Amino acid sequence: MKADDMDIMFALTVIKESMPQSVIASDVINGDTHIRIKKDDLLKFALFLKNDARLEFNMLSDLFAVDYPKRAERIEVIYNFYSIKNNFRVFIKIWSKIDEPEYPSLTSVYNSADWFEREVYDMFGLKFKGHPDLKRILNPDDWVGHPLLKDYPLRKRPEPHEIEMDAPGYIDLEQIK
Amino acid sequence: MGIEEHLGDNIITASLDKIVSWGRKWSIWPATFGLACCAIEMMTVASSRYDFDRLGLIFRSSPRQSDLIIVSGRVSYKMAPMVKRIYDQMPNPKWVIAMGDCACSGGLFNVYSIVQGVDTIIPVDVYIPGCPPRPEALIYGIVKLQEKIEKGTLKHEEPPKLHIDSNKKY
Repeated sequence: MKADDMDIMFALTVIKESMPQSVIASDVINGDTHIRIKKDDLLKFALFLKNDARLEFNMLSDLFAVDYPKRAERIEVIYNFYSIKNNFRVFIKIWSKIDEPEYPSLTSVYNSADWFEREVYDMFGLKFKGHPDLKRILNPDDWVGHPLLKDYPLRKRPEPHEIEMDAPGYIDLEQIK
Repeated sequence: MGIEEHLGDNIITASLDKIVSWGRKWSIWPATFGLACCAIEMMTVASSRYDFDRLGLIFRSSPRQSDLIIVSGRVSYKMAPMVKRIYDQMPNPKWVIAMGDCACSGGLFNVYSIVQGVDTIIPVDVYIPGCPPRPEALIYGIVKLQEKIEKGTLKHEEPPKLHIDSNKKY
């Protein structure tokens, strides 16, 4: 860590003081700052992190989800914000139930959220409201289910004759016009 | 399909078989096609240290000029249609090498997204085990394929069948 890097406690204090109604819990584990916030405040929170002159988290370096099947609020989405100026990273977490898959999309704030959110949609089935093109990114388009959910059957695979051998690659140019 | 239909079974065609098989054996042109880490090993075989060319193997950039497709790596369900399409575009006679454990049987990727053996999609002539196989192993597989081509005839060019076991859960 360089001398001009931001202090962990300073960043945590700034965030807590500015958005007291959004923060549910916060923790510092192994030098990383983890903050759990309310789902509805996510967009506001991201705009604050990006635009605040003291913080300037100008990069969303990752976004992913975890499924904890034994917990009541099963799905945990983790946003990994990074400030290039301060060389500082913060993890924002949101817990939600499995039957509440609606999330606000961060694509209007960070362009990098586009493919991350498509991946989370593909693997966990979370729906990001406001995403410009929310479709599968890793699995084939006609895939059934979301494989990284813990209740997805282990080793569930299509039979060889079920693979659509003719689908991808061909685009009807008339439809694009 | 070609001249073999106009020639009968006689001593001339028997000798012609040998000449044609010899020619095919020493000019196997593989398609430039790689899937995963086995493809890195395949490129090593093509480089100067192991040198594919001395066996007559020259990578062709179009499947329409290729005789051989080396399935080098795990085939995901998303990639399976492309593998099948490249195979379908190749002219007869054509051969397939499944390189590495993943292409042979799915290997360690016993998961939702990986095809459990490329032989469920396209017929395979030679299986090369290894994770990844050494370049020597691939060359050995090529030699085995050459032995197979040598025994082939003009008339009966039937590709091997798909290995789909109806009892097995893929």
